[in-house]
Amino acid sequence: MAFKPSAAKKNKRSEEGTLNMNSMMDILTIMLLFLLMNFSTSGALATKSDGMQPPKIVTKNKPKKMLLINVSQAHIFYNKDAIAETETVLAQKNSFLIPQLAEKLEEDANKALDLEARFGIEFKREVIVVCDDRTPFNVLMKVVVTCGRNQFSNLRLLGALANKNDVI
Amino acid sequence: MAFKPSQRRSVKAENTELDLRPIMNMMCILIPLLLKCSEFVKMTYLELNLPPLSGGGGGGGADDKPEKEKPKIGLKLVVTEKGMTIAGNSIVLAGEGGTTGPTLPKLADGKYDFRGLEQKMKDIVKQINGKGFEDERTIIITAEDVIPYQAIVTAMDIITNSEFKEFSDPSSNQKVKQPWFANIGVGKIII
Repeated sequence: MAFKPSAAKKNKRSEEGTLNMNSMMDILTIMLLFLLMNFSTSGALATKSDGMQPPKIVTKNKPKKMLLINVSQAHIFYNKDAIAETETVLAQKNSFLIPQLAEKLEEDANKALDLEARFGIEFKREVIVVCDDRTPFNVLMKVVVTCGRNQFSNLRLLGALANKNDVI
Repeated sequence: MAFKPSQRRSVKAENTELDLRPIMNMMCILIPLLLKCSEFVKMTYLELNLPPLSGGGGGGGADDKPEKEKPKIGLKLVVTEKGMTIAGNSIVLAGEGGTTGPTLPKLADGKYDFRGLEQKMKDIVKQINGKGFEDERTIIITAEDVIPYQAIVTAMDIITNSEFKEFSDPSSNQKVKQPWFANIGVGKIII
């Protein structure tokens, strides 16, 4: 006996369904906002690269944006402008001062002192120093001395927060 | 001649759906890009406060009263390629074997003995606490030219977290903990 042809198959119509993307859009928008916020806050202070690996630090302190000195393996940056070559600074034997850095710091210190005198905005003498973790002590000393001589006496040595066991 | 009646009335408003595909494409590119670029590293810092520049002169003003000077201990940590040496104004802490080498020689794996440094700092604080040294909360770190920054920072970190001092805050009547070594400086030995 022959089977009756399937009515279901014959009458089956292909329906056009639309994908509801609302919930997916919501998720993506939230993720995008979160990532954009995260990117802007952590990326401004130190950008990790081959020549710039910030040291690991256990002590918890929340850094604020302020004057920034970056010492990478290749260059010394003052607020993201390369002002001197690290190799040249390392080779300099006679003095602990870095002339290019001193010039920039003096300029900013004078501006801040002027603002303090005219408008009462306190000159906090703060500067963030971010050094590559392989930077020799000699270079660090020169940066510290140059900052100190140009009225920036409160230094903040920036690093990545780490566990004590990772550091010791 | 009469104008032709406007066709505007007969124009039907078509119900068009917003095409979200270009936005979705952009999102799908932006999210992996930002995920790749962003590093979930929390930044922190160590304070290094330098003494203010002196204006020259050697003091000696009219208001200066001859006070009995407090003794100074002059604590120093010297980081060399062989290890770490702790010294005061008149004493250098000897190592375990009592030799002339560093107080804390490098470990067998070539790393600095930071656990040993932490213990030594605790012992030193116990010994100097209450002795009335003027600079009991100050330590100067110095190192050879080639010592990497990470070693200096870790030494500062360990010293900061080794021992704490409790103060009572007069405004809130609560006890506040502060690192014992509140003044950590870096210096250079010039021979």
